[in-house]
Amino acid sequence: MKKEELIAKLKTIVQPYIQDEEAFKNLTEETTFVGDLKINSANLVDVILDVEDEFDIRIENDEMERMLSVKAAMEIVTSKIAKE
Amino acid sequence: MIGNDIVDLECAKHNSRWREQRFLDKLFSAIEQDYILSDGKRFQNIWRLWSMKESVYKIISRGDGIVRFNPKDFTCLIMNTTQAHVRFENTTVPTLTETHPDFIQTTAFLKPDWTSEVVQLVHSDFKSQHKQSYQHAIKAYAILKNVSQNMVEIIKNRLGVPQFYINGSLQPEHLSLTHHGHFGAFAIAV
Repeated sequence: MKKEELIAKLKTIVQPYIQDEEAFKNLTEETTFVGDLKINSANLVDVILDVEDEFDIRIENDEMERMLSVKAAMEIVTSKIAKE
Repeated sequence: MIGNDIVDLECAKHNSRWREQRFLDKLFSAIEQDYILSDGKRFQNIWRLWSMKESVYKIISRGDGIVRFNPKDFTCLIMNTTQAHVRFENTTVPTLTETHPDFIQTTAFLKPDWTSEVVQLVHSDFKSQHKQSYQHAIKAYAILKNVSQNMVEIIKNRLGVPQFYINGSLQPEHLSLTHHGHFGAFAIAV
């Protein structure tokens, strides 16, 4: 999957949970879910479940622990897809 | 050190996948899930345990400065309907939870002297909620210290921890702020 395509998919996933429109509009790989997009921490698990469903993957606890930015999510998704 | 967390139950009901088993598996141990399913109050129990883990997470992450999402590393030990402990590695932190029909809020504390207050937020957008939460905490702190509100400021340190200042000098009392949906809360360790 192309990087741009991956970012676009992640953007669609996080949209229902974001609370900072400006940061969402300017989303880059460096954007963080809680710090920048102001996603409530109670919704982080929803983001993870939505990512699992969208890409048909299972994210382990140690991966979930660091999945706090667009970049980290891209790395985890990419490594999972490559294995399948 | 102090940490708190509030969950707006109306928001949580609609904007979360809490009904799914996979949701439970990502956040809670088998023992915690037994508790959640024990008394027909699955929804309230989920958010009680979540707010406990989150408020203790705030204390831990403020201690070591590490940001992570590891709810299963925090183990809930329920004592009664309000009191509990949360264990993280070698640290066990007491928590007090208030369950209201519209919200659930927990305060986690390392020392027994603290005060907290829930506030209903007028606006629901993040920036004005944030501002309102700050204003309520400033007002309460000014009364506590018997100073004028305009002498008090809240400034976040480099780890993102909010701290009180009076006339520009850092104060020793610890503060934790939380907001979700239409509710906010602050907790001050005095």
